[in-house]
Amino acid sequence: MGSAFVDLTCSYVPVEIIRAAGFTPRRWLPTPVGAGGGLPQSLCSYARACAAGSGTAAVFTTCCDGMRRCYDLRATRGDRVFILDLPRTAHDAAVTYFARELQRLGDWLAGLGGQAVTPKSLAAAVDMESGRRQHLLRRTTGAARAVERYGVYLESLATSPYQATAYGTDAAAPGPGEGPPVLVTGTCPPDPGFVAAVEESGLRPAGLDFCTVIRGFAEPPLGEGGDPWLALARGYLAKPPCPRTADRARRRAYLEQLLDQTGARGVVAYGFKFCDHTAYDLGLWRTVCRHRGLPLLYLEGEYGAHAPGQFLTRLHAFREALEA
Amino acid sequence: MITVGVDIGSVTTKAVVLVDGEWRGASLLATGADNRGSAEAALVRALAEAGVKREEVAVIVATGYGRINAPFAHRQVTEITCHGKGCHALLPQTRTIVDVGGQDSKVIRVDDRGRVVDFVMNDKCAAGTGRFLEVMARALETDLAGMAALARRAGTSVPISSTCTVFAESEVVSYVAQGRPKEEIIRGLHEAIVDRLEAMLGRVGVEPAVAMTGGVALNRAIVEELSRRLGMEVHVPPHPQLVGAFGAALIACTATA
Repeated sequence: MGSAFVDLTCSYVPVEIIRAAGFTPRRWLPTPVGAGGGLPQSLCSYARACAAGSGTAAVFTTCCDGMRRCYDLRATRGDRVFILDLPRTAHDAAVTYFARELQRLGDWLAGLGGQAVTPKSLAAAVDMESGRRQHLLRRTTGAARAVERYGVYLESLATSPYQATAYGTDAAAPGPGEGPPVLVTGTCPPDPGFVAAVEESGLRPAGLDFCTVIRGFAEPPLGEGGDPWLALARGYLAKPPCPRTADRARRRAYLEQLLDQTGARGVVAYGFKFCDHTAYDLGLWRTVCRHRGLPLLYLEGEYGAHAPGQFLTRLHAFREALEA
Repeated sequence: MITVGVDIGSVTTKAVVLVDGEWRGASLLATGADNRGSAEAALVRALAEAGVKREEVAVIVATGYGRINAPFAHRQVTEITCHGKGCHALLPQTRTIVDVGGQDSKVIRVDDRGRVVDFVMNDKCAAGTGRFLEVMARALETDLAGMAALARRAGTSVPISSTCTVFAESEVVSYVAQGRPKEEIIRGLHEAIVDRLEAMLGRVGVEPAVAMTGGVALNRAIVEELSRRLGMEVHVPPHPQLVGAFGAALIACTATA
């Protein structure tokens, strides 16, 4: 049972609980399904891909309507799926509520045949995940190119046949860019192809802001002692805020901090078609960029579609504008 | 110093020769299936018109979607930057450029030096491009030159989808079957293109003066309708389809071989 995977589709699912239950958490980046998957094409292509299922137990969150519909569809099919109601704020009431949700997740995992999650097993899982994050940090610190860093992040999330192929293909893309530093943000590209395209255009991705990168690997500040469920809930809700969070001031402060840290001279935002949160976040990015006098390039694609030539023209033009 | 800009577009390939920054010759021919061949032919023709030998050329800059297919070029620059540079040189008051080519359309915002400030580009489908007009002209058994004249003659128009060439063609066939006058259908098609351009302009914002480049800028009905919608004159530089190549040649003036 210890080696059985449990897929998760959101970086706010505490992997420690899945570990403590004796399973292996895997951030699921499934094979793209194009028009298939069983969900309408007006939902985002990542949700459609997740809806296709893999036969593995999966944990969804209420992060967006697409994921809710994905859960509904798979639950109807009889798949082993769980949906975690994810608060959009980090207030005390939200933390208390989320802690109860996490306990419900622990119970569900035990019902799947896992071990009962105890404070002791949770503490051990916290240590283990912390060690993995430290190891990842060391590996990415040594990578000179953004495409290599992103490859390491993806590799550490999971391995699926689709992802393994994608790494092999895209990690060899030409680069690196030594041009103007940019911050690359948006929806999680399932392979390094998009980041490689940014480098290929001559831009230098000085920072990556995807939930598959630092937002997903940030160490949750768990604190010492007390109720471990409350600590996990508080820690995860206090992580770097993602686009779906309702506390826009906190999200904005995070974006400003990223720009300060990276010295980015522009922002490249990438989103999937029909991704509500990308559209939501884009408005904030526009405001921040306008306030700082930074140019913003928004590119829209499909989950799993490798950066097409049209992206390259836009990226090249963006670089030329930054260099002019 | 002699410089050349070669713009390899999806439908036509253009070249402009400058001698010390002055326009001396140009060429325009169909791109066809051989990007490299058409780029070479455009270069040769433009040099011949300018009376310049190839070995006298200092720098060549290639642009357009086929810019990587010009092995003789010293540098590649995107058509977005080139149109900004070229249009600003021809019409210095321009701050917003609407470029509609054969396969894509763009709106480019430039500053007072012709540097690109923002842009938006549609190249995912043929809607709102020259290809859209070509397909519809064929469906209506007319030609591109005749389309503009017929559109301007129409007193009213029929609604046409602005989002998909395939759907729009099917709508045109339906209107023809209903016996709607050809002029009204063509006017509707022109309005559909302008709908699309207006949406793109809305995304980057309109700052006067507005200019239009690309082959579709030769269509007076489109330019007039866009001017009416924006409430301001849309300027068209001379030889609007050569603006990208001209901008590339200007950029070549500041580049090194």
